[in-house]
Amino acid sequence: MKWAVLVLAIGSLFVPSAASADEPDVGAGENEFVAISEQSQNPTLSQSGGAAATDATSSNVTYVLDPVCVRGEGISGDSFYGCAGQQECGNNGQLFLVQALLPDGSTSIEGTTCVEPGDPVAAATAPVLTPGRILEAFRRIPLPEAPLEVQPPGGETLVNFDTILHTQAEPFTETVQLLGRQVTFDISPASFTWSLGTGETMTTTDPGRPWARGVPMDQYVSHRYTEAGPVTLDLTTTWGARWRLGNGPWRDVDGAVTMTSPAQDLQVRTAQPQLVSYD
Amino acid sequence: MRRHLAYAAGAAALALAGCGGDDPTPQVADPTSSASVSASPSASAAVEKEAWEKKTPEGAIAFAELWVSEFSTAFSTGDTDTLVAMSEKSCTTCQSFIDLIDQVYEAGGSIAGQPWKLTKPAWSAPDGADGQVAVSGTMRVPQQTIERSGESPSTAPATTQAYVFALGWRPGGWQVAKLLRDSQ
Repeated sequence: MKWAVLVLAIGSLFVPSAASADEPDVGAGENEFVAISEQSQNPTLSQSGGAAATDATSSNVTYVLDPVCVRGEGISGDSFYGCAGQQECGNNGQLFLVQALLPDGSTSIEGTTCVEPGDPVAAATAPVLTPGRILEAFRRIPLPEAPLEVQPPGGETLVNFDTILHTQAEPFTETVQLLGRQVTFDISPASFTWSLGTGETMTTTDPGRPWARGVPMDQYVSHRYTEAGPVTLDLTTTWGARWRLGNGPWRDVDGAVTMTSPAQDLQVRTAQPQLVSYD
Repeated sequence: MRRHLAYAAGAAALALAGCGGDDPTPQVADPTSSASVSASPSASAAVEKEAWEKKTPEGAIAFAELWVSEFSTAFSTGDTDTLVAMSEKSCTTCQSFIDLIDQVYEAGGSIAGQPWKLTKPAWSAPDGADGQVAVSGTMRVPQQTIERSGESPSTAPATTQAYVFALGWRPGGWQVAKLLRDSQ
């Protein structure tokens, strides 16, 4: 339903100037390159505005808006996320990129449009907070370290001995600004994949616990090595999240983030029984 | 200027690699891995990349600016090789620009004017548009004169126009996939 509103509203925005629609020929004194670029535009936009919008909607083309971001803001590393400042336009308006979603699944960038306060299109821009952008925002939240701890300590254990594995990973919340809105993430560790160094992995929802007197062994995350030798262990923690806008309802984030701890070397040794006499 | 020539040479090398009859697998570096290599401390000896060589929003903006610069060079000199390398064949506006330049110069004419300039460039990375980034801005188009042999020169006054570049990240780096004069 939102899309229908958006499509109609945008259709009315795409009324090309009379010059571009009615004067395809290069006139005297007109820059030929500019004239060419008018002629080469997407046919749906270079036709007369109303007809183009009607044709586009009837063939199931959906238009979506994405914010146009100011240069130099919100950019980090190799990411395309982070529109901290949106390009302004018109009378206190904000500039959006118009993208057509075509029936064959492809997309086409169609130009930009300025959405000013009070414009009915402004209400239809809510879909820009898409699941993809929510997931990107989640991925950019720094996650706490979840180091792999092994007991017994000291980098050595014994064959056929319960080697205890554990980490610390607690749920937490984080509030971020996304496209000018306050989005809260409730983040928690969803699973732990323990790579045991033997080619085996073990996945749990339990972060394990350090050894404590009197706690039954089935309360731990542990492993018994059956052969002696060096092994290298690591732990991959998968974090999931739910999010909400302001104090709105919680929704699941469509994706997860994994983080792998630094590897730990462990020497698995065989115990040698020795008889000792006390004189 | 040297870096511009390097871009053209690189693009030509890519084209040759793609056409090699003996080796069906072009030896083209993966842009993603090369980007990560540049970020690695172990690659400290690597040459620092130009802004337009980076797969970032700022890289996309810098590439659009470079495209405009190369376009200006091309219409002033008649040499469109670099412009061709920076533009996808599917970019109809790009190809029309290139064709116009080629036609004028091949017929013994010329195009005179100050370089175009993309001002207030901004970017957008739409969801679902696989790796595409749009760079929008206002193009300052100075007065331009086209001379065709046997005809009187045609002079167009300076103007400003809004344009949108749709850029795609390809094995050789950015390319212009679409160029739109923007009606906003």
